Amino acid sequence: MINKKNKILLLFYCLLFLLIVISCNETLEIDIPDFSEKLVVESFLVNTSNRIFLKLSKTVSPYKKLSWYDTTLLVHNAQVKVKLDNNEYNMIEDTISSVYYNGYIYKIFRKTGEYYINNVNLLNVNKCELNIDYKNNHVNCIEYFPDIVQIDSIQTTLYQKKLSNWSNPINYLKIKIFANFPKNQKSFYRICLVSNYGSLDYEFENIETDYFIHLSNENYEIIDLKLKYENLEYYLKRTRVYLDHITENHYNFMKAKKNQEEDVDNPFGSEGIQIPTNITNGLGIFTCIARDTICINIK
Amino acid sequence: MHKYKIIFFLTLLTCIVNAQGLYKINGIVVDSVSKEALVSATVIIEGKKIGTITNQSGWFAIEINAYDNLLISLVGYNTKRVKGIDIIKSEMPYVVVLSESPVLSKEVVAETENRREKNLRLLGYEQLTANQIKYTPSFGGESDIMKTIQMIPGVTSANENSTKLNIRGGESNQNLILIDGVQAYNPMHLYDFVSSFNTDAISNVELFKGSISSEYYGKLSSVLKINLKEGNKYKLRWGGGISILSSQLYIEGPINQNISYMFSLRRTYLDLILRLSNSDAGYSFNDLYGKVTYQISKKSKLFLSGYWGLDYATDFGNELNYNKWGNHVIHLRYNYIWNNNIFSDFSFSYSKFFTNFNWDIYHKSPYVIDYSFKNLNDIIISNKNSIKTGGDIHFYDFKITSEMFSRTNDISHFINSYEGNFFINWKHNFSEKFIFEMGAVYSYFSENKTKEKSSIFEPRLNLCYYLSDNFSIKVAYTQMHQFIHSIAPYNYYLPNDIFYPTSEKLPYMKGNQFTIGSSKVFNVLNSEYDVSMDLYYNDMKNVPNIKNHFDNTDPYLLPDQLTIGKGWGYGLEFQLAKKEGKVNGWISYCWNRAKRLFDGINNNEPYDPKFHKTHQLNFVLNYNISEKFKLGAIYIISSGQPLTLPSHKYYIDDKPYVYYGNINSFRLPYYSRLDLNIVYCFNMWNGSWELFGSIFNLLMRKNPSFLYFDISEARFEKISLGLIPTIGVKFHY
Repeated sequence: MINKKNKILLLFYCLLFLLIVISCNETLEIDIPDFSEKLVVESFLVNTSNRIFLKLSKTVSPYKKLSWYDTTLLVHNAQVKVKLDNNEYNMIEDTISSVYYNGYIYKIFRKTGEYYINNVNLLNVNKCELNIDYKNNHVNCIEYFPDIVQIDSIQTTLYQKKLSNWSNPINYLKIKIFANFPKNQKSFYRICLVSNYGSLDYEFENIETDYFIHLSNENYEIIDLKLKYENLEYYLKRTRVYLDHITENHYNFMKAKKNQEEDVDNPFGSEGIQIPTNITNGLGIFTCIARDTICINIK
Repeated sequence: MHKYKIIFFLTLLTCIVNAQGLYKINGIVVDSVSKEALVSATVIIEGKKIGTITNQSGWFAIEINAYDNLLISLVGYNTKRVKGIDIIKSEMPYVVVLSESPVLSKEVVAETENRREKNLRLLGYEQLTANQIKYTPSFGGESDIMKTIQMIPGVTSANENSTKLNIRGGESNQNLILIDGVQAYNPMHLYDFVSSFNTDAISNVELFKGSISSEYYGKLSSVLKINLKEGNKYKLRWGGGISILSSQLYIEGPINQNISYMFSLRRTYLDLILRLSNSDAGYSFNDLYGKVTYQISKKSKLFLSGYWGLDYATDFGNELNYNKWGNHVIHLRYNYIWNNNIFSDFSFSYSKFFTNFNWDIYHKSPYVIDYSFKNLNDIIISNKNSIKTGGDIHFYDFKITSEMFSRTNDISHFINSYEGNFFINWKHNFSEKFIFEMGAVYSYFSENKTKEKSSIFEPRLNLCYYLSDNFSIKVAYTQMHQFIHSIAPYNYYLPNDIFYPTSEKLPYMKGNQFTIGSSKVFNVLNSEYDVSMDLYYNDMKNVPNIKNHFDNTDPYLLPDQLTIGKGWGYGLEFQLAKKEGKVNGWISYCWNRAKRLFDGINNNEPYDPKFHKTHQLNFVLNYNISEKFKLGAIYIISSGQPLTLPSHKYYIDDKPYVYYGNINSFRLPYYSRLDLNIVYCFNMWNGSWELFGSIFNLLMRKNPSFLYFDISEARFEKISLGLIPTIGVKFHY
């Protein structure tokens, strides 16, 4: 039987518990600093491609709640020019005429904020210059194509690793790439495992996994790539490895981006990881990639 | 043969003796109950303005006349007066026994000489006894040295729950933390919430934050000495405690007349609680302290001490996932009293910090191992001149591993290096009013991988001038270096610190500190108070910081991913303390500035570090109400923590990212917290028991414990700790 004294004690502890709970989490009110929007560029020029693609958007106040499909972020009707060595091109803004949603195709006409040029030859281009004019904003960037690093040979080993006692083993592919990596200098790469899926009519390129690496003095690189699907038959289709020689700006951008993804929203996070940019007066990335490709057989 | 030559030479040095019928005596100050040596007790000649302080083995040496009296005192002990003639007639070393002062006794105002002796200590020196720490309230009822030290002016931390110390604008990894003289590399539990120091095993704690004697080197900012108990030499004692976080047990006693021991074990039961609550996560920490002391003869002593600490985090559902980390320290020390003038200490130590991280596909197991041999000599030439000299050799073994499983080509990077240090410190009393202390350290470091070699010579200076017997002004200059870097990626509360030696691309850190201070001892209404004020300026060079694109997948390239910068700080500290009596504690205020400047960070402009608080006012109170009741309270009010605000939000590849404005340019509202601790002492089952109740954040102010920007909700979220009551019990037999 609970006597009166114990009841009071129980009530006291309940009250304390309640106080702890209600005082646990709250939103902090902060004076919002002055905000002026900036243009955001996202463009990766691959030497083996004959198309240049650029996505242009703008920043918003970080304290404004909006979703990724919010079209107000897109920048339309900007004047986007790309100069490849001495040849200058005006980029055209892409449009969409229909959208597929919930089993239905809706006819719409909308500008996408995505700019492109088709039928350009990037193989022998050295210097790329970007100039964008939008309202009173002018942003620009100059980048250079790195040299192609050719893959000499590749060794693959398939293995499985069990991550817990109850789960199925996961497939990993260990690849060893021998290439003419430049010695005694910093160089940056993206190693990427690519497979194709879809029907014969419409085949998609699927990037299985990619890693950004920073090499200084080796002539080979070993990397473990996680295969997404348990059924290895999936990989019997055309599977290949890209060895992308990238710029330092590109590497720094991708790494800082990944670090920010892990850091933001994290109560134990840092003072804030700034994503670097090579866009003058803007944000984002405009970069050149020199690609070499090799097909592999997964056994 | 060389050894005897050195001893002969040192003895010769000391033969500037007896011009005025002076006798050289030496002795050891011990506790009356446990017979343990007492560190940092003051020994002065009554009526003369001459004195000294006991060393790490409780040893002192002084010149006296037959008619002199010695006054020996220490915080928490009754001052003892010993006749000089009695000492002279006795066999050396003379043993002085001090008895603990009953806290409820009428306060006895210290002799004038005593007040002067309190001024003898180095600038920025603080000493805390185990009792002071035990009754100071702390989070979860777990008495914590680091949390108590955070109440000292000039000491802050980046987070209210962190046990890391940022001292006078320095980084938390720039503090030399010594467990019984051996460096511990990362002595934290529970993701930095609890320090590794178990108060049951500790005799006292010393902090050097201003003038640092040349005896200490290797870290840039401060020295924190944790002195372990030697073990009761008189009778067997054992006890323990239970709190909401952990349980402790200790045992100490004599094996025979010459050998004593002390062991203390602590274990948390968070894992058991988490298991009962069906949580998927498991966590526990354990630590064990041990010390065996062997009194070989009256002149020589051998110590074997050790510390073993382990944190273990696991996923209950998956035993393949675990993360464990810890410190191991072993220390073998031998000290010998050669004669009335020379005391030597030889030690060999092993210290390791390791992490073993296995989570899904990720695996890393870095460590740092430090083997060292050290020699320390106290040479008392006369009452006016004393020399402290010695040196050490360290052999380091580093394993730096990648965080990612994806790169398997030589994923671990092993580096060996060695370090040699030699120091000398000379103390000279020019006159009764003016004391001069000068020292120097020569350090040599070699990294075997890149064959990078570094050497440095650093001077130390400490001047003290007495304006009156109880009022002094002190000036100090300290130069420090740090060869071992500790890099913590993104301040995660994981012990993911990477220890990396000085190398070609990562130069050693160098720092200077200038301090000017004054202290006065006075009494009001039969109570003695110490008041002190310090003004300091320090600077640091070659401070590493991680770049925004830091990537720990290749340990070989770690130095490439760091940016080297500098830091500086200045401030004013004020403290009014009453160290003894029924009511004791202190009030302190600190105004300080700290800055960091790194290439490529914050647009190459200086910024405030995360731990920086411009103003901090602390109150610490210990009130012994009666024999049965004790009250402890702390109150902190300080400037808010700096914060980096995002200035833009944008989308890349349909994912949101933020662009930050200037680092830490915004400040949170002020911080304030009141904690209380009430202890009820009683006797039960032939033992003495203490029942304690602790309240964390009595005012229920919602201070931000953790703060983060929720990018999808577009707002800052803060997690605050509300009022947290805890109870626990301690027992002693």
